Amino acid sequence: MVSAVPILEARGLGRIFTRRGGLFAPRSVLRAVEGIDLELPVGGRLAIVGESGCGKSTLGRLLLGLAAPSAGTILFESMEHGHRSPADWKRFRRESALVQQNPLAALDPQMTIGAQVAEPLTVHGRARGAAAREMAERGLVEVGLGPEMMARFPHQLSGGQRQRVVIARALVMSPKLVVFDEAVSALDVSVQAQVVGLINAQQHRLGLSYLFISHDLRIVRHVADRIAVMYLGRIVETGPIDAIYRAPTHPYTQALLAAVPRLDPRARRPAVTIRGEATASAADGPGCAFRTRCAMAIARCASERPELLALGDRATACHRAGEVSEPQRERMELVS
Amino acid sequence: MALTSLPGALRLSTSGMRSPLSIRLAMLWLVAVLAIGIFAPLLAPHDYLHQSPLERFLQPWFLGGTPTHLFGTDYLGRDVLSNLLMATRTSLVVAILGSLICALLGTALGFTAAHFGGTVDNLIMGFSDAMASVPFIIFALAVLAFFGSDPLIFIGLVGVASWERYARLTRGLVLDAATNGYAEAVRITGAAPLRIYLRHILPNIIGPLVVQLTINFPEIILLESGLSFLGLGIQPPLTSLGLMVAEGRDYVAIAWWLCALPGIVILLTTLAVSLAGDHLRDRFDARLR
Repeated sequence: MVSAVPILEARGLGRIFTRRGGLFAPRSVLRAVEGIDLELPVGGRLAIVGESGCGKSTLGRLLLGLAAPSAGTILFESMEHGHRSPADWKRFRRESALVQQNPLAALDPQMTIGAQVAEPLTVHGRARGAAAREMAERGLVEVGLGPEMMARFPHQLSGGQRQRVVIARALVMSPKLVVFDEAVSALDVSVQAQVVGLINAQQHRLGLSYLFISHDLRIVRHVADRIAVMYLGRIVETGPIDAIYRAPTHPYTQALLAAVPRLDPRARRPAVTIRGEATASAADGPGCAFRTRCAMAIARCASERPELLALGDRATACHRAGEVSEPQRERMELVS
Repeated sequence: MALTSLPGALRLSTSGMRSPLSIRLAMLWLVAVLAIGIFAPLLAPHDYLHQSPLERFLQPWFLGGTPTHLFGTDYLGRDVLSNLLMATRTSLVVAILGSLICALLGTALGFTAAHFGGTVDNLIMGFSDAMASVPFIIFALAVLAFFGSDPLIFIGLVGVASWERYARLTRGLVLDAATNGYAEAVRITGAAPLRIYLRHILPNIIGPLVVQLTINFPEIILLESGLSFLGLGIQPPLTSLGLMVAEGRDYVAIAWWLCALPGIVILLTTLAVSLAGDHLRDRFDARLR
């Protein structure tokens, strides 16, 4: 399934935000993303999950070249982002797309839907005027919207319709790579299901490769083959989505999966819970960033950062990976 | 919701809600002034420069004068009504051109500052701070004293009177809009910055800029009047509202209408533009959210 050359590859990717120190405030450093290695095969569907503030959106922006990495390299079709000329960038923009979190903000309030969906076509000189409008209309039909939407304005649409428009705009150039950044999080559940169905249908139609960034583990399994779990800027566990859901090995993944609400009222309370919030300072220093909230933390976790160790086609960054109690495992199976 | 489907400016006229009486009167006055500006030479009953020394200080018709000179005559026996019509035209041209120059210059500089940031931003904003810290009339006096008062120089001068306000406003609005999702969404498609600014950001920030224009416009009329009153603005044989007030001032004891009539036109026009601008801003606000 994995073709020879991945469409997107990141090596040792890092992004640090520094805050200049003031008269009374010391200079502070936030490691939004650190030491990320990932590979997206052609046609691959990778989910990036984690709680808010874990750096998943920053990662998406780095991969699309919307922010400059502080460390590491990104390769799209074997060409490094850092080596792109303006023309190469324009080609990359044509072949990549981003579906943003908030569809109302992502659409220009003063422009008709038709003009906005047609815009990438005009920008890249693929079509203009009536031809562009016709292609935009077809794009809208593909995402299940009627041609009457063309003349409407964003505020006249429902949330689900807007998200479809954003997806139609992202796909109108038939890109090779799409980053869905919390693409369905703002929608209510029934609309989420529609949009997920739409994303799957379009993936089949266009053979898209995509990254699906989300905090919602229930959605993710319907749209991705592989998953990468992030905690404070690092990937703590990655692998095929079914395997991870069946038997998570990192305590953080276990806790995330245990916290997924489910419909069975007889289900026992999650066996693994985490308290408190992710504090960025925990990511500094030598130890594991999760140790402050981890029920399984041992002395070694504070002194030595666990590497992301591969085990078959999955990898975990935990000193106690795989040490999961049997009832815990049962719970995981209920989820899957 | 039908009325919200049209882009900003168009929507004003199609609104089902009736405007208050004051706004309708203001609009009516502005239309009349605009018509005078265009048709003044045709409307004027006499040649405004024609002097008749035997008919000096004739009373206006409403004070018992003759219908030949509806608003009476001035100290050279010239027809005040004709003079007033032509003066309105001059003042209007100066104010319209001046505000447009102001708006274009300030907006362009605001976009430039927001786009480049850093040194360019500091330079433009520093310059605009400097502009704001010196009373403009002093600056204008210096320039006019040095270069003399050519109508073109004069228009250019009132045109730079308050560009810094547009620049500051535009810069803030652009910086705000650029962080908005839609601007980024367009950037991701690979669109050039100029396209993002002109096709996306400008239509979204035009509302506050139009309001700024309606605030700026009366100020320019007053600036023109002030400078002409001081003898540094429009020079005879051209005429302007400020110049008429200045000339009438000497005879205010015996012919108060020479000052009062152009003064009333200045007052009503600035008031009308301000009212209309205020109304416009309310409409824009209501439309936005």
